[in-house]
Amino acid sequence: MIAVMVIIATVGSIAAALIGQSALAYQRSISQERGANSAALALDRIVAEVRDMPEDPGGGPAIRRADAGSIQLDDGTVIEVVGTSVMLTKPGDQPAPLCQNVSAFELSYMDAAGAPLRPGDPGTPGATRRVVVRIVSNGVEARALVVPRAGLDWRAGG
Amino acid sequence: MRRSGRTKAFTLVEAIAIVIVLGLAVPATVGMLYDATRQRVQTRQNLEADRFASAILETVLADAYNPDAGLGLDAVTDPAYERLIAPRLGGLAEFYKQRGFAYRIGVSGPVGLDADPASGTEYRYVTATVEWMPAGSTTRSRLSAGVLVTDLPRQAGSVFGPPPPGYQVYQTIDANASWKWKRLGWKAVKDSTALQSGRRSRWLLFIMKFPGTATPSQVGLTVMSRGIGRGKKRGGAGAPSLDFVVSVYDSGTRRWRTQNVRIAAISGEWQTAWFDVGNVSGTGYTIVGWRNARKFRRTGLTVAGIQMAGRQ
Repeated sequence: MIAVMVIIATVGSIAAALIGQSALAYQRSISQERGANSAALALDRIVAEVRDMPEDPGGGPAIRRADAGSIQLDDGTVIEVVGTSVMLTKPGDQPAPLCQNVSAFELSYMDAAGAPLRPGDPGTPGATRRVVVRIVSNGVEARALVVPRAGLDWRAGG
Repeated sequence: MRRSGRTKAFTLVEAIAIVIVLGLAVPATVGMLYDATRQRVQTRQNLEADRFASAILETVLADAYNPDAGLGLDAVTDPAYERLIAPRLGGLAEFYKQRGFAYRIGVSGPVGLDADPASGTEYRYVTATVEWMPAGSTTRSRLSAGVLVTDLPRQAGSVFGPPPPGYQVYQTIDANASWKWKRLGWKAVKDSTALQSGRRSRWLLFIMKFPGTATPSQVGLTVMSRGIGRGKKRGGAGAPSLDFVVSVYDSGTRRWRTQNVRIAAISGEWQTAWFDVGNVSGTGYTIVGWRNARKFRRTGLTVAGIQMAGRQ
């Protein structure tokens, strides 16, 4: 009987460990998927807002403020991180969360030649022609690059 | 009645049965969990590949319409562009490379209805292909996305100057799109959407619609000169002042208005000269021409197009 119990205990512990590890991996993958989906949805919305931002009367995209953690457009649209949430504020609307459980949110800016611009500098909003968005949610990092259409020269051709 | 012998907790047969059941159930359970995880990871990889390809195409688009030196459609169609684009992706190339993604950029030959080189307009289809090894797979996956780019808008957008203060550009007509320019003796300039005066060129016709209500209007002509003389005798770019004739037909008054205008010191760079054509209503037909075709031919005059602006 002792031998039988030893065998069953051994097999049981191995099986439990296997199932436990698999369940942990499964749980992690679900968590990551949730984070990836959340970040993807937020990225898609941010990309759409930045891509279709209004055009400045003097040419180029109409950006009022370009910081590392937020961007404000001339029409009043603001995308920023507040606490652990990325918020979108449209003119006349209350701030709405785009993504929660955000551990990092970063916006970087580049000029027409692809050279990086310093966030927060006074000249950055006017010179920005590309925006890179980085967001980390639930341990999942996602990045996207977007070119504001208002900054493309073909628009000037009418 | 008295029971005999001891009660056994498990017999060997039962133990073997348990082992067999566990042996069957555990791998199946683990396998299912592994498959679910793998599918989730693959879905995430697909999303990332899609985002990477989109970032590449966004950069291609920005570069193709960038009038800066070393960029534009010519740079995008260059075989070296695949390497040149990496530092222009804002760190995304490294980020995705670390995750096992690789990319390729393919550029088609001229496509579309205007692929005729004589038209001077070029359309290319640029494809970004992202490759990666899916989780739990031994074959690489591939995702391709593309975008159509052309040099026509780039040229138009980069050479036309801004309107005079207080005026708004209502219409821009590229010289290449003007009416029957070939028959009028003009020829397309290579690698440009502009037209150069030929032997018989005397005038160009642009049909443009002015605002419906009578409004002070201006006509802008964007020109440059490739230098005085012909062939090897041609000097440096630029020409002295040249006289043009601008005629505007106003459908509101049903009259033509013709005036002589002068652009002083045409340089080797594109410049836009604006001419006041008064109040124009309805549909206007604008003719820009000159009297001394030979003189214009000698100066290598190149016309990018014409614009119409009205008071804001």
